[in-house]
Amino acid sequence: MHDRAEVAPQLHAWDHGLTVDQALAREFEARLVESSTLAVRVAYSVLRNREDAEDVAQEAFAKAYRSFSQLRDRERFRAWLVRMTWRMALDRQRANRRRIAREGHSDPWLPASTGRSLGPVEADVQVGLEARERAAHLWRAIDALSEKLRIVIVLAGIQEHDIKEVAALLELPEGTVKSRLFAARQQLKDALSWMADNRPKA
Amino acid sequence: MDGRQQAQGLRPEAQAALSDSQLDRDIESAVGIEPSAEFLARVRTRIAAEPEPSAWRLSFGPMWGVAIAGIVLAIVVPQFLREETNRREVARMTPDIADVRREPMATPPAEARRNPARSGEVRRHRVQPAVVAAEDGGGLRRSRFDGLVLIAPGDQEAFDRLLTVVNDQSVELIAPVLESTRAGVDVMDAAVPAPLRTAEEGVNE
Repeated sequence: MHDRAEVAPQLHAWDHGLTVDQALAREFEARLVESSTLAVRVAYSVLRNREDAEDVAQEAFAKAYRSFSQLRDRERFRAWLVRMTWRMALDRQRANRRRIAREGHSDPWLPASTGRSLGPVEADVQVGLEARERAAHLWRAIDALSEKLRIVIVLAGIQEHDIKEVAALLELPEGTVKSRLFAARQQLKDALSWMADNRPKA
Repeated sequence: MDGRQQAQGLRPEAQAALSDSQLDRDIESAVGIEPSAEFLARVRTRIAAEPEPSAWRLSFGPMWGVAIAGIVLAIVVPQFLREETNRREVARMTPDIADVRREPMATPPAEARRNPARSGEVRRHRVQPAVVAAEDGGGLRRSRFDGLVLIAPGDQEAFDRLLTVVNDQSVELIAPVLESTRAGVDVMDAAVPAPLRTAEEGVNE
């Protein structure tokens, strides 16, 4: 589950008797393997749908491949990938919303107040309505955050990134990340406690 | 495992007292999905359809710079050479032109200005314009025309004689004019100093 510890070394063609193109291809493969989970989770945190998230992550990797000569550094690659995936996921989300509005129906997993798709049911047979409602509360609280706070709290939640790692991924000062994380947690706690207090009784 | 399933652990009654670590765990559970087994294969297939990010692209940026510099040089250098050729041609066609460097006019010292009658001060201040004979073609570049006066060879001879007379102090340039002015001489007469007029007429004093 936690693949962030794997550090893919930068390959040099002259060290391995490879052509430069082959060395680049190998490096990219290493980055793909180590960052695929991160990209999918970032996209999922926006889209709440595995297929959509994988589509977006795939497109992000394709873009990264096209620009890979400028993204060979591992940290730079991951930071770029996270930001690109986040933006593409937001674009996809807007497109989904427009499509849903145009078709005049809402997704069955869509919390009415947020207009966000929770996606199809996946092995959800044993999960009751109450669990789904709780999950929806958490997502609704996350969605209520501003975009700046949201990406920080999501990245901190993904693979238990610490502040330093989140700062590196977002290319922000650690102090900024720390203050945003604090603000995001406060708002989430407030929102979740309010939701709990105002939860309709069955 | 889907994040929504794992978010079950979020107990509403405990949400008010949610700690940071609990919150992080809940979020991690919510977003903690794993890519499907075929995800990597799909990405690899997708990338196989992409044009290769070959190493030659690395040098594509510098190549553009070199190409643009080459185009600029190809335009500018012939133009410069053409202008240079034109200048040399003009110079070749006018070989007997002499140019005289124009120098600032000699200013008499302050005392001489106050007392023009004692014009010895003025006389000691020699006027020395630089007379430069016309050189070959290279001497006629535009930059060398700046501050120069071109005169014909015949005029140059007369001008040289005038300068010789002035520098030998054999003529009085200022005093007679001022004396005449005091005497109420006609303005037109005063405009051309007598010694100069004499020199022009070829009568040496």
